[in-house]
Amino acid sequence: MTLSFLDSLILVIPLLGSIAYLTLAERKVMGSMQRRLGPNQVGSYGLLQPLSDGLKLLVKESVLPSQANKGLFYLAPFITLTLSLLGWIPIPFAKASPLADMSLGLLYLMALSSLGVYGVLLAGWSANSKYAFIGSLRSTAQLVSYELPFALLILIVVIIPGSLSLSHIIEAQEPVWYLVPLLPIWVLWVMVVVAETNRAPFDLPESESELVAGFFTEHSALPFAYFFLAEYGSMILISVLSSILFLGGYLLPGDISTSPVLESLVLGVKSCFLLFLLIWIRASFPRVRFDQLMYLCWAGLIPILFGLVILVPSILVAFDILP
Amino acid sequence: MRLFLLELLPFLALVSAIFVITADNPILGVLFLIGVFLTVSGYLALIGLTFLALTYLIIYVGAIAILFLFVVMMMDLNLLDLSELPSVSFPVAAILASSLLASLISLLNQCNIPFWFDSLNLIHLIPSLSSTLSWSSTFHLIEHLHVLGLALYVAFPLLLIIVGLILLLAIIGPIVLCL
Repeated sequence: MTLSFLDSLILVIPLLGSIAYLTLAERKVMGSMQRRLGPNQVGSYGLLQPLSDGLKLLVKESVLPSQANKGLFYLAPFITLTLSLLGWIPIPFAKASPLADMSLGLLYLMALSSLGVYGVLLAGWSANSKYAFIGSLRSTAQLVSYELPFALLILIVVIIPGSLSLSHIIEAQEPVWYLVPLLPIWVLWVMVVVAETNRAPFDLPESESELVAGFFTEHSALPFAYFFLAEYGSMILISVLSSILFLGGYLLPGDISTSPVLESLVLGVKSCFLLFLLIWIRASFPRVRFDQLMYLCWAGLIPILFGLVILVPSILVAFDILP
Repeated sequence: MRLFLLELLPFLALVSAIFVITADNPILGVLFLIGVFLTVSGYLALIGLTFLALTYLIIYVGAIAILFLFVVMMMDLNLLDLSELPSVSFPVAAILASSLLASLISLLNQCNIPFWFDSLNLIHLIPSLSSTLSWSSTFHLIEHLHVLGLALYVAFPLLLIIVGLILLLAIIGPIVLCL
């Protein structure tokens, strides 16, 4: 499990590039859906826009509120970005290619996603501002609540291959992708993923019309860029995770022999489709109210999922196909 | 490196445990408590109990400590002056702490704790499990998860069902109370 410095660099630098171009893709796609052009001034077709945005954030002055808790104020974005990058360690991009093939990979990802709340909570509290504080309380309540359906959904998927290792889960999908037998669960999964990544229509933490920018209202320049990178990084990570759990990861349908390059391309295409889905959802639905969000989680998703957690293993037992 | 970390992590855990008590800002106290949890889970991972380390992270750091932090942040607490605490609580604390220490020491004397946990010596820590399994079948258990699952479902199935019912009530009760 030794991670060399070079291995990590090979993973992190393309990741930062894809985060940059995800932001551009989001603005372009949203522009097309709303019959606008989107950014098209910097570079041809606006292709250099993310670079100029990044440069702007780098050279701006970082403002520190005078009443803020300085250490925690700068620690929070750092925690958030680090945790969102650490999640990439157990991801297999092709056969036998993750940085560390953990037998408990999914559990590790769940641990990281539950730690991610700290960045939000500390950022809101340390800034000593009402908007940031209310934003962080809302965001924490939302993330902690949606942790439960997230874990239940993973539990349902994990029962079928009988393993927490991501590569085992992919190999077990060779006969059929889990999207087909678990279609209703996939719909619930998309809702939970949107809530876990704080995206519209569940972007209550940063509802601009009420809270300015939510928990990172007071963060500017580089700390803000850290939050931004972490948010989009976790969007990409969760899309890759969904394509591993439901869309067969790097597998092509049927018995087509593949090479490692083709396999990682397949995983990339599937994840891009899911990212497009997230942007599509953002452009289509209005934001829900906070109590509606909580009601949906505790009175809608969790009872259904309790039922499914009993139903799916019962079907497996009935047909005698438990692993 | 691993041996060094095995010495360092308990030391850090003790230091942050002391800071939990002495910090005058309650939020910093909770943050040091999180430090204790993190170092302990790192220690568990280093002695080979990866599954326990990860569940420790999810449950203690990811759920319980967040609730503490959440509640402490929402209350309007002033900075605490330690010297103003009534001295009556110290004898009670001393009695509780010494009885806890005595029971811990007697527990540690009873069982033979290995330095590195693989699935084989984990089985032998659970006497009712290792007596039901045949000697040769223990070699097929390569992961901790299998051993822990066997312990729960084979050695203590009744306790598992009771714990599951209590947990279900604990989840549904608050939902019914709140809605």
